Amino acid sequence: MRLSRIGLPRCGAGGVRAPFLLGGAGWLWVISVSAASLALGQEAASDSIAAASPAVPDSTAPPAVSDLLQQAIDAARDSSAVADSLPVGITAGPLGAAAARDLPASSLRQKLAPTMGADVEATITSIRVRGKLQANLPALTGSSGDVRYTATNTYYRQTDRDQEQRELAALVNDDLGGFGRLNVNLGRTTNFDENRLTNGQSIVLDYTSQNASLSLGSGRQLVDGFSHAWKLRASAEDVQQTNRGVANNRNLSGAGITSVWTHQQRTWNLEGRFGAERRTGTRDVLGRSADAKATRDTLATHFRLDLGRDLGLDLSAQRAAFIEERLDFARNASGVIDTASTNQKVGQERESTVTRSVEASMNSRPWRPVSLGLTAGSSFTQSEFAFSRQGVVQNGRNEFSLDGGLRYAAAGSLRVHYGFTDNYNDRRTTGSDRFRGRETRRNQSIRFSLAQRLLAASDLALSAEQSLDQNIFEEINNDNDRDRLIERGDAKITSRAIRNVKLDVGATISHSEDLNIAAARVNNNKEEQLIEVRGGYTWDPPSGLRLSQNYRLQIRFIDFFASDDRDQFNKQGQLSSRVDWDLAVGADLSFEYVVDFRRTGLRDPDQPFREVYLPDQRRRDQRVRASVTVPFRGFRFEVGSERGFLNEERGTRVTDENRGRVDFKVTGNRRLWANRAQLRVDVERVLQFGPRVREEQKDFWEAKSGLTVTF
Amino acid sequence: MPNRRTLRVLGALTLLGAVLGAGGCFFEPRTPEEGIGEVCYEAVPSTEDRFVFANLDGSMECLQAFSYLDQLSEDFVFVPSPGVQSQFPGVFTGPESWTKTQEEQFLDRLFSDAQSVESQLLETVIDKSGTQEVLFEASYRVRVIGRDGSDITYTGEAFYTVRQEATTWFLVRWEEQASDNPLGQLRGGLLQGG
Repeated sequence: MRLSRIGLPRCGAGGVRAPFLLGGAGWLWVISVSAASLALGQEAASDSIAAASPAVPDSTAPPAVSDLLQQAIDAARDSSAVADSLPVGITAGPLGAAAARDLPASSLRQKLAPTMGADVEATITSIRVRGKLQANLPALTGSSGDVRYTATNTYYRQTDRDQEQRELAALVNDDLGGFGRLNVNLGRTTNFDENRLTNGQSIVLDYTSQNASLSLGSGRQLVDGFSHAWKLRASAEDVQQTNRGVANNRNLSGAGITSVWTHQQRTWNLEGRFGAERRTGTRDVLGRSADAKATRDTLATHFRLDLGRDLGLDLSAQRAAFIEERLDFARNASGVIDTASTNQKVGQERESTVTRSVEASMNSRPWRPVSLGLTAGSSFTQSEFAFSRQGVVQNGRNEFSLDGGLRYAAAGSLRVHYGFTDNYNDRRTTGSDRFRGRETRRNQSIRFSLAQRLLAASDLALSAEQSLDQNIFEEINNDNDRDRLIERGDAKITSRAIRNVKLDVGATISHSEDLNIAAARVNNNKEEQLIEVRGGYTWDPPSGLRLSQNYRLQIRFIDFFASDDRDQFNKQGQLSSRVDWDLAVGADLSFEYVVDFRRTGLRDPDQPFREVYLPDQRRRDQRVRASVTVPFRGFRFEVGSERGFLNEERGTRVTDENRGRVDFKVTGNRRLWANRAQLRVDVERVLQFGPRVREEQKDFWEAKSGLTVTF
Repeated sequence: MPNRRTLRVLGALTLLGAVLGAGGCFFEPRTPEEGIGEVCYEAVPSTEDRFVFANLDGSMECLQAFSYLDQLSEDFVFVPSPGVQSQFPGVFTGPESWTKTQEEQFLDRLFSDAQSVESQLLETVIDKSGTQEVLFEASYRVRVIGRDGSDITYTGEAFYTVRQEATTWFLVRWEEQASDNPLGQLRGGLLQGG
């Protein structure tokens, strides 16, 4: 997006006018803003806006761009009276202010509701600048839609690399009455990425995609609970891609149909779905061109029984087939492009894939305190490749889960969950007469949990869990077989029994085993024991002062089954203390002190019958941070300072490190021009020092800010 | 005499304890084979940032998934170069969609299909910065000889971010730069290939 000023302010009956020209996507928006609004100045403008819209939230958290756009569009639509009184005029046309003056500006503006946005995001690695234009399409025949143009440039700070992305999209919806509902999508995307390496080489990705799609669909009720819905689709795409000088283009167009038949009764419904699609065109790879075609068909059914809380049942099944003929690069048995091991770098591929799946789920409450849930599913996919050395590839998945709940008292419940998943794949490479052997990844887990109110304001939560992950390889001479068993128990008490105090106390015991099955790898098998205790409190009286402290201690033993000399012990903990004070004027003060400590040790090989660990490392890291945040005219200004001290003993080597950081930050959202503009500011400057701070990190800016305007 | 509520709570706790106590181990792992000699690679505790890469290289070369996965943080993401991302849109569904789950699937596929792997993730360290979170900028070279005879070398530059979590260093981010044949090609190809 380019923003250029096309004229100097000139005097007129309405005051000084400052026209601007915004160019994008071959169209130009001509905007003239009356000096009456410009002359107000920031303070007067914000005061008048505050009076007009007292419900503007005072939030420092930047909302999502889509939310902002929607808010802006809604505000523009809902406040037409305010919009008409504003000294802002906008017209849309090919070029020229004369054409702009001749059009009924305000009514067209309301119909178009154009939105303009710009964002800047700067991090330590990159700077991204994005501009966006969006407008509703005029409702000529009762249709609705919008057109969007986005331009994004990314500059990388640590590498010599630029990236440009442009995206133009248009969407139109129209209700054609008895003919159905029409949707039209048009899009064009370009991406140019140039990475200039240190060796002088330049790697360029140039990608352009243009696509158009049209769909027409409708549905109607038939007799006795039967209904039918259908949709026709047509689409075309043209993709031109050059990656490191290698062209890979395609030009495809096609059409498809979906038909859904439903029988709906009071407690159940049955649905059948059929879809088919065919696409044809050409593909160009490495300078060679050939025809391409693809067909896809899907047949699916779904049954649902709904008997309220007593029983809910879902059953579904689907079969899908996909066949594609295309020009493709040579690929090895793994499906990875491999043009080095073969003379034929490109060839005509024929890929055919068939997928079948079934799923079932059930929910029931057979007795008021008891709930049951059950799901089961299975799917299988087989793909065959004529050119790639992959040959035949099979993938499958089976899964089952069971949930049970018992509310034994008003303030207590017991739950159990069991889950099982089994993912597998197999392959018969081109030229081989048998499958390689299945690779299976299987997981089983069971979890019990209990939640109980202890006293008036205290809760107890207990849980125990065991899970087993298994990787099973049937292929001969494949040593990857391995199992991982995890057992874990948790206990936690949360209490608010003391006024203004929230207290958390918890403990965890965990045991895990990593087991390689093959003899060649069993020497790395190990088990790990973890014991953790933690506690913390927050004192939060109404005065605005808040104090919190948290403590955590972990003790971990790692025991290798095959030998003792690699066994490890470590003890680590953290104590953090934080004071926050929210002052009545809106300012915040905070102070935080965190200390991490750690000791590690290795098993003493001279004492094989006793578990004695010799300390080999001690580490203590302290951080202290203080910050002040002050609000000013809708923004928040924060200044923070942090110092860190690290002391480490590793054998005879002792390390003392000092580090520090000061950061200045401004955040906030501000609405301008009667909520038509939204300014989002999040800018931070960081100054830091320390033994491992790079030169460019000693003083840098970070930003994530933007402006969105709805006219 | 305890009231009904207390009895229910005690009953639930007893039930939980009985199930856990009586059930003991619900799932049993398989019994490993007897060891037959030297282990290919013994992972060292990652008490220093560089040990992470030594363990990753050793695990790759010896096709050892456990010790490789132990080097990855639970927040691990692999970020491919834009060229690789556009080449495998079904695999890299977003810039940071590749997590530890996909990495484990990739390893399973790689270790099944590879005859041998030569790995140098820190072939040349171009730059290094940070304290508790260290950023390495380095060139890498990974050679994969497949069981079908294919021999492909993947080279390029990457930004690795390793973080100290408690006592141990983990790899949390692996961002790849564009190159002639980056390792992202192998990742995308293996998972796309099914």
